[in-house]
Amino acid sequence: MINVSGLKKYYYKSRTFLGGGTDVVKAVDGVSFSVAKGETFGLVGESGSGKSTIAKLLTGIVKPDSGDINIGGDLDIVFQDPYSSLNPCMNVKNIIGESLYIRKVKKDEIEKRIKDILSLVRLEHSVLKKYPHQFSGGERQRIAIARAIVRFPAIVILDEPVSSLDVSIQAGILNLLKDLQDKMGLTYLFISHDLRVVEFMSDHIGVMKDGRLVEIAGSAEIYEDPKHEYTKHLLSSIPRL
Amino acid sequence: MNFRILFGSIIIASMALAAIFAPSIAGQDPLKTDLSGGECLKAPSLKHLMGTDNLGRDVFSRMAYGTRVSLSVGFIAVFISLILGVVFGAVSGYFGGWVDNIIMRTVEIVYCFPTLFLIMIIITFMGPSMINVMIVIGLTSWPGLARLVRAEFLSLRERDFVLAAKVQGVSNLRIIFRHVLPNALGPVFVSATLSVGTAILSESSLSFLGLGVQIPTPSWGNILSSGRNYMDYAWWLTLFPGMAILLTVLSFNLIGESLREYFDPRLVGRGN
Repeated sequence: MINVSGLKKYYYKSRTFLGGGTDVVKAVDGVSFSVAKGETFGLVGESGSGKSTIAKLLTGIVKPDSGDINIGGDLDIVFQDPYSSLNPCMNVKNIIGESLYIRKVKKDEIEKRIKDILSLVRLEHSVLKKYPHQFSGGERQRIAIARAIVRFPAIVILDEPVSSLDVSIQAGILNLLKDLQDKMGLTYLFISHDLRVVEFMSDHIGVMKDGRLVEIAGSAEIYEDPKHEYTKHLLSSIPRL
Repeated sequence: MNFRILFGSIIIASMALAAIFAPSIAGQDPLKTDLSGGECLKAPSLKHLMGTDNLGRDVFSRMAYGTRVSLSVGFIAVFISLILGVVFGAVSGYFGGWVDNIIMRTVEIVYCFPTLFLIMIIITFMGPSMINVMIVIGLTSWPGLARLVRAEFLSLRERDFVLAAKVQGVSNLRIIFRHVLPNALGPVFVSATLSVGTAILSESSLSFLGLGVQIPTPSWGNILSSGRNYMDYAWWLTLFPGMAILLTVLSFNLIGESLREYFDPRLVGRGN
């Protein structure tokens, strides 16, 4: 469903005002992986390791310097911060319905789809006329998820979808995401810095460091038998419960 | 309620009423001269609330009609500059690159000239009239707004909800009007309110200099101008139009400043 090979994206910034030399930031430096239909691929790594750049490259917001991206269907995204990912000037109905509206779906069909999706993400139908500031972080993230799945995309990119939420709410959102995947056959690219969350969600896990994928393995394998030094380091830094 | 908003709104509301109902409250024809003995340069009385001018015209009536000129020039000029400022600022901030470069260099060039001087030059070519004054003030005052709108767009276009819209395939035009512009309107609205005061002041200056509304049509600027020859013994000819200009511009500034603090509390106590 997703096939990425040799993906590269460098950022350049001039070191001085007059351009006396440039620093190169290798955000993504030769990354290849593939994700099968209905599967979750987890990308884990510290901040600055290039995880989010991969998300932006897949959506097409950012163009790669080189490499190939093959995507077998519609794609949508859920961002980390539900406070900046929902337009404060639009009500829930317009936020969720926009992608259908611009595709000229009929009005009553849009209405019906929005209501179906709201039930799926477990929100009341009464939220339609409300604005984002009237909701809690967890509810906002449910709205963002509803927006992402309303046009039945094949793939959803989840860019740290629970990192900014209270721990007590995280589990609810993660279970909801798994549920939706089962019901709708979604393919997920799940990005997080939290190895435990990634392990819970993913079928396969890719470990990123400085723009490279240092290890790709099945989610159970990586826990039991980490190959790369960095993976071992990440695992050892998880607090034991 | 905020004292400044209350004060400003009362003044502007009464000015607006005066402008709308000018014919009924004026009581007398603002253009009717009365040169028969003793009707010229009369001090304020019950018959002439603000006295009469050197041609025996009722100053109160002229002031009432002048309110129409000032307010309509203020609002229409700002409306023109708002449209230009929002369009250029939005395009500049949203698309960036060479488009941004061209628009911003143009803005800087316009900024190089003192605005009133620029307006006077253009008016000299176009000929003085109320319509031309509105257009020219509008055409010369958009650069500040364009910069403001551009700055808002620059920060808003990186927000996640804009990226989400892009991912969903929403068109640039729709993103600009549905997602970015509504979130940029607060500061734009503040700046527009302040500009109304400036535009009214520019119109008065132009009319004072004879480049604005042409006599005998009354405007605060030309009433003030015709009164300056008689300043030593007919104070009412300069005091009333001067006060009207002062109060109106002050009111727009007070409202603008309060709105600014409402939209951005961090700015309290700081200069512009």
